[in-house]
Amino acid sequence: MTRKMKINDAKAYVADKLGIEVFDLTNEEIMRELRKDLGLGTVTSIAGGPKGIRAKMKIAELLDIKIRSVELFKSQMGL
Amino acid sequence: MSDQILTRMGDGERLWMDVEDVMDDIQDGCADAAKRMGVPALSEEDQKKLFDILAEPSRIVSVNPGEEVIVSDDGTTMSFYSGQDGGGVGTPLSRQQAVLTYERACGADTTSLGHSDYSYKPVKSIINFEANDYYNISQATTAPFFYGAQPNMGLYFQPDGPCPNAAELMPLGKIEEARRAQEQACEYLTDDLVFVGSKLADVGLEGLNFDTSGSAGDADFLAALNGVERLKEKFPDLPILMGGAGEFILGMHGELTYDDKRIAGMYTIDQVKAVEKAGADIYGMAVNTSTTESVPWNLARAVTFLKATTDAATIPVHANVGMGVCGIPMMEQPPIDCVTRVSKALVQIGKADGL
Repeated sequence: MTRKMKINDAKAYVADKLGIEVFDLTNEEIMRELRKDLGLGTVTSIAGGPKGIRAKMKIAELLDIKIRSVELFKSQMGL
Repeated sequence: MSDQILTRMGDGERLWMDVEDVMDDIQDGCADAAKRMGVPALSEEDQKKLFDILAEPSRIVSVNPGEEVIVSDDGTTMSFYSGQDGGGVGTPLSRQQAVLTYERACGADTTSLGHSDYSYKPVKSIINFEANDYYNISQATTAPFFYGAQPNMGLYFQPDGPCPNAAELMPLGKIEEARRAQEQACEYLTDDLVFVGSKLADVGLEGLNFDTSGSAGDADFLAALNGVERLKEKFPDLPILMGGAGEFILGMHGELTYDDKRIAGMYTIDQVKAVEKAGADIYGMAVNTSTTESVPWNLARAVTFLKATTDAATIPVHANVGMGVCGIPMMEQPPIDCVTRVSKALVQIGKADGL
């Protein structure tokens, strides 16, 4: 959000980081497995799967973005 | 194709309209927005696309695959546990349960937290409670998690607030006194926006929403712009969504300026440039629905405002599709046929970056 990207630029950025086509960002068949494999959190709850701040840490790292709650959490954890 | 189309009036009344009447209303709605804002009306091709969306026979419609956008929200989670006054459905959920239900069961793109009064002034005195809840919930959410409220400058006038009541002074002919009262209220409001925003930023705030900025007129909008500026100076990495209150800013003061431009009378194309200048990251566009005109008229008008605004904007524009804005009928339970048609038209023709 702080990069003020319009929707098409934002989609292209995320798709590039994920290594998929923009068209597949809304393809449940692709995104479910990808999110599960990358630890980004899934719609249905998988026991032990990353959710919340753990998933956000992975999202921030993968997309090379700064998420303020993650930054605070990392500072509290000494990371 | 049927020679009649099922649609609604701006107050939600369902009616069948002749095809010619729908086309006439689309043209009139476009012309009204174009004349007011000084921009071109929608092209014939876009008007035809709008007609096709309105004429789709299915009860609900959607954007084409690949054209999906983000749906941000302003206090949607509050609608899980609040009542009629907040558009709420009255389920007995805690704030955290509501946020997580919205995120995970409804597949929300963003979630948010807000105080029941949904104004910044009352949040100031309970900011530590809000910061605690925000922090705790932010550890459990995955989607971007905003804190939102309205600037709502009206709360700063007597008897609710410290400033002389501008709305009472003006009918007495005390115009200068009313202006001074608004300037004072504007300063108090700006300070409160910065105070609340800063406290939340200290606990890892992921995004802040100034919702319905300008509801009390130009001084209200100025306070929000100044609040964004000051918060961005302190926290450059804090995303801020600043939404307007209507297509046109009321000149309750009349002489206030921002970036050497008079705020009173700013249409959305000027609002978004001011919001950009202040440093906000997303502009929320609102266009008021006329209850005595049809949905085709209201939607054509909203799409015309939006398309010109998205063309001019360098930041994302999210069109507000709440009750009584951007073509949604003004009623407590917006009909799904209108909500989906409005959403599709705003995205595919108006080029909204989000809703």
